[in-house]
Amino acid sequence: MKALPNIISKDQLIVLSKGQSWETLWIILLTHTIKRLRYRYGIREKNDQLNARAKTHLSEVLDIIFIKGTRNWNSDHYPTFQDFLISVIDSHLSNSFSKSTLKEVRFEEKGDNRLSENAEDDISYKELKEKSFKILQENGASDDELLVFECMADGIVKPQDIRAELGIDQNAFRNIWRRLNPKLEFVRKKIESDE
Amino acid sequence: MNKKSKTKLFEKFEDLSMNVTNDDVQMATEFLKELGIDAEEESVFGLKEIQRTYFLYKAHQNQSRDKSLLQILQTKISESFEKNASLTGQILQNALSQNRASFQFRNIENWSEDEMREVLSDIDLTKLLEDLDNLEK
Repeated sequence: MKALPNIISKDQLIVLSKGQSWETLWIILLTHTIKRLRYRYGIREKNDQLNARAKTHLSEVLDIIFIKGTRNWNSDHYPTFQDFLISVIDSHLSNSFSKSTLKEVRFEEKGDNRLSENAEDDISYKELKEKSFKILQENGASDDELLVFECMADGIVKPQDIRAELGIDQNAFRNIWRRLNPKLEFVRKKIESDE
Repeated sequence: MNKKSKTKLFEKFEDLSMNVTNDDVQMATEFLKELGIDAEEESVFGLKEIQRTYFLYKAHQNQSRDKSLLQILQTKISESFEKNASLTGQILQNALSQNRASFQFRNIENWSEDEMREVLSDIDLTKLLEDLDNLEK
């Protein structure tokens, strides 16, 4: 017999929410929303406008969860409260933008990214990875930064997994990321401009 | 290099960048600072926002509870009037006396839920229901 999904009731949700550190959680959710608006939906606004837009979306998400109650938390799919909130934010943004003229830039021009990859795609991706690696080297990326880049390009995109793979602690990872992130932005722009 | 490969790589950039700040509030705070956003101010705003949500949740719950109580009261008042009109009128008069001293209960047993809500909105519905229950004993 198939097990029933583990749905958290609204009363439990309130209790769990009251046990959270919202000062910290809000910062993470706000950052997540701003990044999604910027990277996935290509919103280019002044930072204060982007912040205000993100906060409006977050208020709507709280309303959906706690007042309207139209989103249930299946804890089998989203083990933590933060995972659940982030899934609702992503779903809410997707719904909002599917109704507007703004579309996801992430999926622009590429169709369905779940299509199976063929050998040609593999070669192309390998070439792109090598090209990016070279751009990073030319721009002074250290060995540590290059290792993190390689993990990422190979599909290891969780910081704790990268730390485990490279045997480094959180502080070391933070320092590498602070230096690598602007270089990745540069790589992205360079590759886009090379089209 | 095809577009699909570029998208695949850019997705990984995005995924790692999102995970870095989702897993580490220090990195999220630094990201906001780079945008000129004061994280402390935002924390205070966030706390107020969740408190406002709890308040609305409670108000919503009370509204639902009162709606169901009103439906029960509507039936109870009709039944009580049939059994003892003057005592029922007296109980209602007492319940409303502080706010609506001159209120008349003509045909209250036939009022709609909206009419009752308007009249009974500022009294303790649970207590009124108890008083009407006691009338039957």
